[in-house]
Amino acid sequence: MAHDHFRERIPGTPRFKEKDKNKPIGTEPFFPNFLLKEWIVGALFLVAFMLWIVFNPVELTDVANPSDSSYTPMPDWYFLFLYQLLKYFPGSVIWLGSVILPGIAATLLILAPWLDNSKVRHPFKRPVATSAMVLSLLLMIWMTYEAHVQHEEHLASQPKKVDQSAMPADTTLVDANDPGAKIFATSCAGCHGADLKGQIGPFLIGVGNKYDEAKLVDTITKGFPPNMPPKGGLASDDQVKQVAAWLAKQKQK
Amino acid sequence: MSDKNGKQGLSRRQFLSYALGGTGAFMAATIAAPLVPFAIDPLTRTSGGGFADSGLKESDVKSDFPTMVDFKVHRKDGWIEENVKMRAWLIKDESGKIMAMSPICTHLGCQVAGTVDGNGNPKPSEDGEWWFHCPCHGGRYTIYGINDKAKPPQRPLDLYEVKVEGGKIMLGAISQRKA
Amino acid sequence: MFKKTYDWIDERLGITPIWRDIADHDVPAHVNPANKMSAFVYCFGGLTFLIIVTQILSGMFLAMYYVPDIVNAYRSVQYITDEVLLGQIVRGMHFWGASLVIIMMFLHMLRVFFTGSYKAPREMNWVVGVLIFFVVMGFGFTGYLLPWDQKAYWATAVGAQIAESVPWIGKYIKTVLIGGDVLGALTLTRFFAIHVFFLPAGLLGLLGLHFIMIRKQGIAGPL
Repeated sequence: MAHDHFRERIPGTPRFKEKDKNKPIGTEPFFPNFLLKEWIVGALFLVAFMLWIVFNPVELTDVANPSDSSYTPMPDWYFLFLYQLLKYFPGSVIWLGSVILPGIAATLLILAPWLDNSKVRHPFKRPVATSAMVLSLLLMIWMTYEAHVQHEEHLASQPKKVDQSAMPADTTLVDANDPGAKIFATSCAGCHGADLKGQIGPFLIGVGNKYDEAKLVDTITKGFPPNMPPKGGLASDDQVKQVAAWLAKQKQK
Repeated sequence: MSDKNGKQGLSRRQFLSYALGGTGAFMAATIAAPLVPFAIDPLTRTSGGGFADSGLKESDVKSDFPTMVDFKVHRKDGWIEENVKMRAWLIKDESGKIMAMSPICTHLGCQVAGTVDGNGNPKPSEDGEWWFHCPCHGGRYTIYGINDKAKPPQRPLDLYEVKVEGGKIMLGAISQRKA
Repeated sequence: MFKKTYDWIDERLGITPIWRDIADHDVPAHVNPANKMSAFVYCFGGLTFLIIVTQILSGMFLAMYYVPDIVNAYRSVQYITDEVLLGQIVRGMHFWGASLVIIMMFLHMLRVFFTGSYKAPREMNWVVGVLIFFVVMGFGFTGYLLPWDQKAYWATAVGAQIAESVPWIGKYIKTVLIGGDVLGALTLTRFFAIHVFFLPAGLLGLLGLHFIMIRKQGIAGPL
């Protein structure tokens, strides 16, 4: 090895006293000369890192809710290319994208030194290895980008999350055994929540403060297409009336 | 040392090395013996096939319209046990087999509503063959939970596994149907 | 004073040859940015290690407040972020550090690949490096669940589904991975144990091998 001759030094002799003319120009001792430079780079790097952290606080989404299957899952960014890969395979052969392809890629990566076993090292002198890596790299970047774009598109097409900030503090239901309440539970609770706190649709706690029964009948009958169908999906005007009557009683403060 | 055939036998050093390897393997196995089963304990527990009593009898299920039932599933997650409220719509299909559909819309997970009158009794739909309606994005399904392809949901309502025990209907795991 | 202490220990344990082995060697000119600016690509490995060290430290300190339990995990993370002195920063170090490790490690891998440094006789070190890469991905996957928020839960649900898609044995892999049929209390404790005990043990072992080999074989020569 090129630097073995330094081992022949008399033990205990400090390096700076050594007169070695065989040393190639530009070579320098790891300790302390080179390490100091590395640590200066490391220190700058850390400062940049800490500044980034200070200006980019980590967010915490809502607490995990196993029953909310409408949440759009999204893996961390470095798994996105794998996640995107799955989209190109239909359910019956999903294992091609989840096991086989990543497995092949991982094996190729591990075996790289044996597959690319020529003596030459310069990237331009081994075009197969270089172009294979550049190609996979571009593919990974593109798939990550694609996954990101598709996720954003999907989010944009999703109904907005309910803003509960204006909801009254008192959330006790008024007259929970009303016939209107029963109809509500079967048809409306899916969106507005059985507790009226809203899920996909807005919360209805305290809705009686804003609207009277007649106005509620009118609103439900019209609906908010396409998000809420006319009559809220109820079968008859009579049902609408019963639900509206019950909702009009919800005057929580 | 060599035996009669002139083959080289085990040297003392080789023998000791093998013994060392064997003892090492024994120690590793002794440590791993309790650890590995400990880690794969979840495999030994009944998986997913748990059935819950729906509270309906076989005779309660009609073949003209689905019947709704709310029932509770006992779920055990380690030391946490809870009863999860579930809902199903049951109907007998043309061959008389009981189908139990989950009312979760296959589009975005809203709760679909069946066509019922004020008392919750099923009645014919005013919307042709479409009997289940999703209030969120207008998805609709037939009495057998088959989706209207022109609407957002792209696959039929999911099905519960159904088992009849002594006339009582037991419901199990939910599975998807092909679009 | 320092010299005296050093000599006293050295007399008994002979530590001079040890640190010589570790640190007393020459760095060739072609990896030294002082000679040629483009040699900065040789820094990526060291920077990856630096961030891994900060990850280990910030992780150890986060464990002082974090509880791996589905009732309390979220609240403990909330507590760390909102209440603990500089909690936002320490959590930020661990969160952003995770991404940074991946980025730096990937750059390091590309440098090794494009300079052909993995060629004989350094094949084994390449293999160890790739294994480190996989272990770090494992850290990312298991660590993502720990805050037990919606993002964490559903991303892991996807991961579990992917595990389930393996032909024939997928169901069993999923069960062992998430510790049961449902993503819940047992999943969280399992992922926590893997994240803070199993993977670090593996990582430290592999890193040790990685460094021993690079010292033994030296840096690959100039192109």
